[in-house]
Amino acid sequence: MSTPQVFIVDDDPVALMILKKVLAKCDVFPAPLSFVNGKQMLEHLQKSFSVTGRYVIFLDINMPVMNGWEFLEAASAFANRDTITVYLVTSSTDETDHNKAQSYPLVAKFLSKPITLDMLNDLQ
Amino acid sequence: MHRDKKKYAIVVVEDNAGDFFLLQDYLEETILAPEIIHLESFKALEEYLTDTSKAIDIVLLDLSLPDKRGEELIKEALNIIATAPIVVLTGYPDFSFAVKSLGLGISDYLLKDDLNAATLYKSILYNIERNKNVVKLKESEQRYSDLFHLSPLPMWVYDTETLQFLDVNLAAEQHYGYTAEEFLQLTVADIISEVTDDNPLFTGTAGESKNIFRHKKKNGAVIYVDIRSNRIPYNGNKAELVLVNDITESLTYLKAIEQQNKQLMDIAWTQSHVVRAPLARIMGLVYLISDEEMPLEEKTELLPYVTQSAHELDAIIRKIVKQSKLILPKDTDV
Repeated sequence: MSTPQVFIVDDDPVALMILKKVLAKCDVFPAPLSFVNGKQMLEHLQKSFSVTGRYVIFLDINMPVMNGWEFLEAASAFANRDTITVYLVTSSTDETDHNKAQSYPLVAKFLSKPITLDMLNDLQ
Repeated sequence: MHRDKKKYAIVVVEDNAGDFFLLQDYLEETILAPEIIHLESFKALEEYLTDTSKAIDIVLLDLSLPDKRGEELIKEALNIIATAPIVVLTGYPDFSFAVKSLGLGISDYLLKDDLNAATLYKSILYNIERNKNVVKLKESEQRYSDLFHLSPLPMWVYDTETLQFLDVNLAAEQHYGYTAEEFLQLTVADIISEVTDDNPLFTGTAGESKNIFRHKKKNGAVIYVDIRSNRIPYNGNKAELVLVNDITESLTYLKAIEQQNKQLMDIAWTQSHVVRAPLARIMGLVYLISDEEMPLEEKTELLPYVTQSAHELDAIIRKIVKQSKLILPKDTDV
């Protein structure tokens, strides 16, 4: 199995920086690439997507241009859980968001910010 | 012969002494001790009834008195005699008039020539007993009429074909501002308000909404009413009995509460999405800074982000407090 490519999608630069620093301490998700909205993430995937690739995406929900839900809709059209694993990362503790996340097969887990090293280690 | 031992108070209005004598004879033949009150004119009857508070069992009325006769006599006698049955006695057989007088409300119509002790006794006994039921029925009718007219909720009866009001109660008059006479000139369509609004009860398909109507009062004020109705035959018309419950005030409260709920939900959404964003950042930053392995310069670099997020959180909380004050009643302490 190939090493997964790791991505962070979040419009908040501070949140992005925090997650990057936490991921850096964790060996499992090396060298993450970051995007500030779902559209950028989607465009990157459309250019480089391979069905044999492995992609792990830490995805924020509330973003301008294309939010997390819209990205999930678009990505579900060409990918499944064998290629893309999405961790929804949000500051929301809203039940409805939590329930909605379960309706997308790409979503492996719903993570409430802040993300800690323990949480990342639990994902393995 | 066996004679009835009951005490009957019998008023006999008869000006002819011979006829009266005969009647008295017949009465005493079948009744042991009849109390016979003999009066000779309508005027005497009127005076007797005004003066006495004594219960009368029956009135035997001769149809041709010196001061009044015939139909006029019957009508006026019915007016002044409250509950006792009236048996008309006459010397002239007039079948159609006999039927008519029974229709007016007298209890029996006897021909003097056909009279004997037994027939008179039978008529007296039958009519006293039958009248008891008539009186009961009248009281019962009155009671039901009172239930309608004195109901604290507006009620009316309307013709389901012409929509004309057939009867309205006092509460309806007071609530809608029309007098009973004015109501009877209107149809149900006249009190339905044409004003449209966005009240969900009128656009929704909720099961109950079919009972809710918008009415207008005489002064033009629009009210919302919950209508309950039942079919009822009314003087030969196909009619409906309608009970009206004004729910305008409840609806106003409901609207206010729904609006408040929406605003509270907005606040809850903000809590979850907006408030938590800077808080989650602060928590994340503090988590990073707590790491003993992190060099001091790097920690110092992170501190401004903590301050910035704290200020952001502060601003959001102030905004929420302000919002909450707007939706809560003025006199509530927040």
